[in-house]
Amino acid sequence: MKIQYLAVIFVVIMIPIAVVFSRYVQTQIDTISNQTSYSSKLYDATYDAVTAFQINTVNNRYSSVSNSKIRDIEASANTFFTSLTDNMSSEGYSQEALQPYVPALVYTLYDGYYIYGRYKNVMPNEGQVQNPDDSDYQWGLKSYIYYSCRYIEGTKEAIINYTLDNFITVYYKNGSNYETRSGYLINPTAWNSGNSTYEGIEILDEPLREYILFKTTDAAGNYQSGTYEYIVYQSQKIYKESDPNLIASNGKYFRYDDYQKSYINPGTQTERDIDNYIAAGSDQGAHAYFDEAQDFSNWVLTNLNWISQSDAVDESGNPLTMEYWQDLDISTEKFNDPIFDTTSADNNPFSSSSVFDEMRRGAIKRTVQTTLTAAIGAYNSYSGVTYEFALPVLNAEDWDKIQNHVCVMAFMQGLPIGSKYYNNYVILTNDENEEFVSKNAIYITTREGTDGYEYHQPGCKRLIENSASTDFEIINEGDIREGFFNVEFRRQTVRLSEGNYIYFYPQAKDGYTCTACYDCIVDSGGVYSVEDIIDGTINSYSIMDASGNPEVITTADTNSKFAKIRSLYYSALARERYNLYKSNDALNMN
Amino acid sequence: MGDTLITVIAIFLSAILMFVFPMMSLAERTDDMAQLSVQTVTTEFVNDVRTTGKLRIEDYEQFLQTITSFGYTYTVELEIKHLDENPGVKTTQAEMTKIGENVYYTEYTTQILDKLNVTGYIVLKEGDMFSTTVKNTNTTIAQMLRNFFYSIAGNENVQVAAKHGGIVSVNGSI
Repeated sequence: MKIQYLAVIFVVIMIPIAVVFSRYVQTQIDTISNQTSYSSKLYDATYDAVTAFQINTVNNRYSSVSNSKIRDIEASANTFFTSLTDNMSSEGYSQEALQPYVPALVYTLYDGYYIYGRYKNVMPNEGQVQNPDDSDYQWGLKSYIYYSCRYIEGTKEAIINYTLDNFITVYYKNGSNYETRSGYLINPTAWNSGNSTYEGIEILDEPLREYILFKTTDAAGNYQSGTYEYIVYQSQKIYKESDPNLIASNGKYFRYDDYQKSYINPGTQTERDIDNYIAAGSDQGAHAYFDEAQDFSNWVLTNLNWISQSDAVDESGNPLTMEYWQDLDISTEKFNDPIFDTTSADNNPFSSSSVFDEMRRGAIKRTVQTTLTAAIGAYNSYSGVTYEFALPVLNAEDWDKIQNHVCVMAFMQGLPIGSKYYNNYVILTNDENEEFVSKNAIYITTREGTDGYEYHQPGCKRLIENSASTDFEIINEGDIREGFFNVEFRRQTVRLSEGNYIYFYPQAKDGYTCTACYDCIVDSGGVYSVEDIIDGTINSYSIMDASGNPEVITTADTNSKFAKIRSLYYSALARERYNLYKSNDALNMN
Repeated sequence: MGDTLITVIAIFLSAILMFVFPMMSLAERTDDMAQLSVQTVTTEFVNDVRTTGKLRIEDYEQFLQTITSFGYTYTVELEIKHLDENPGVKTTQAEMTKIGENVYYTEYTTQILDKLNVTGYIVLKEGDMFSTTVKNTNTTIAQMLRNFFYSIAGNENVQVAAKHGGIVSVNGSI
């Protein structure tokens, strides 16, 4: 055969192979680029949802109340789908076309979570199941799921609802006795109510003040504003009127309602209730928080000291074995340790290394994992899409977010992208909302000389460090003022009319500015961990002792700055947690 | 004589046609794949920082290890834009009807690495911006082959480059 023929045969064989191979590689490249682009879009949409939730709760003074919360979450879910559709519209997807690919949009909140998804809003007749072909399915929030765990030992049985912090609700049954209580768990022996100290940390109740701006104008046409003292009564801020003439004509107290003063009529029962509340000394919250928590924790210690992880049972009462927990990747190191013996040294419920906190995290993970797996699994029967939906495996970092923060989780699965189906999720946390006061959500204010107020993270090196440094100026103890919830530092909006807004900052008191610290808020590099502040020992990384080891800062130091910061931190955390609305509080009333 | 010359030219052309062009095409494809991989890894790295609000030295080293595993060498540039709301806050407090302008100030690779070496992590807050640029520094096979025929002048003559950035969406915690 001539060499030319061989060449032709070679070309005839090689060209199709090259073309097919090239096509295959191109498809793979397109798939990966699509995947990256969809991930970014999903991320952006989730971020929009988180932001919408945050803006709505911060500007809604009743956002912690259930109905109002549902409205905020539905608004946030709508934002998610609108944003996702806007981003994906170039690929030709409409909202109706996209929604089936989102098996669940999950809002993990303070004591449980909501799933936004597809459901049928009717109850089937007894003994019947929902018809998957029914066209009555709608999108909305499914019923709330609490982070709970059930424990049984002999005749004793308890269901504990955990939360993101040390608040629990207990449904307890001993033989034929039933009891239901809820409250914060602390070490009851560490609280000294007479001296107002918790583990030697002074708990302070100082009068709270904030600046507010009204939509009403004065004689000169300027918007009225002022700095007022306030108390939190029934989870609402009640301001004290400072002008004697207005007190005489309108009343002592007012609410900030519809961007103006709404006075509480003098001589009414409400006014007397508030008077009594203030007279009882619980008007600031921090002291009352520990008093009530001590009472509750003593009750827990007496009645629930038998509970350990080994007593946990499932819905039908079968014990959950060590292997079961290990399969869920939940630690069983303290399997037999009593969870609610908060008097023991390694069980300070504020600390994340305590037995209680480990069990709390385990219970949250179990609840979310089991119910979400079931919810996404069940979605297959009525998704309307030929794709097998399943809960992806979440990594340890994701679980850490869910166990300690308010989160939005968005799942998107089954979207065709070239050679395979898209399957991804995004989890974003949010610590600035009226849902929950996280450990990182307390800021400390300072005021140096004639400057304005400045706010810091509790672990700011300018607050913690004792010795002067060339890199930054330390703040003296006398200049450290108060601790507040981070939401209080956000800009508040007064809506005069559609499109016409004015703004104010509540912490800009008495005409001073309130700005963020450049060493911890604006640039948060090199901030000490809040866990170290709770535990009371910090290893300095900028200042070394004579032998070259990091200087250790403790409360025993002669410089009492650290003790003051811990005192402000604990007081603010206690106060803000006490003042937060909790739907399960009502259980204590019977 | 004429036949010999044509045969030599034919051999030369067929060598180019049968070896150099497929090799060039293959090398270009390899670069494309490297480009895609680096882009994906960079996007993942940046998104991880954006969702956690934390830049850790372990993650950064892992990122470097992954991109160099494709057999290229790179320069990596990091950039953090810290959101400074204070100028805006001050304006709003003086003039309540306006939203003040926020300012960003920037830190670049060396400053970021200095900080990472001291504390092991950098915590970012919601509203900060983080971006990463990766460019290869070695000459790839495709570039060498291409330089054999023609060369492109200029500094920014990189074959594999990736960039990703965005707004940090959470307040990082330690």
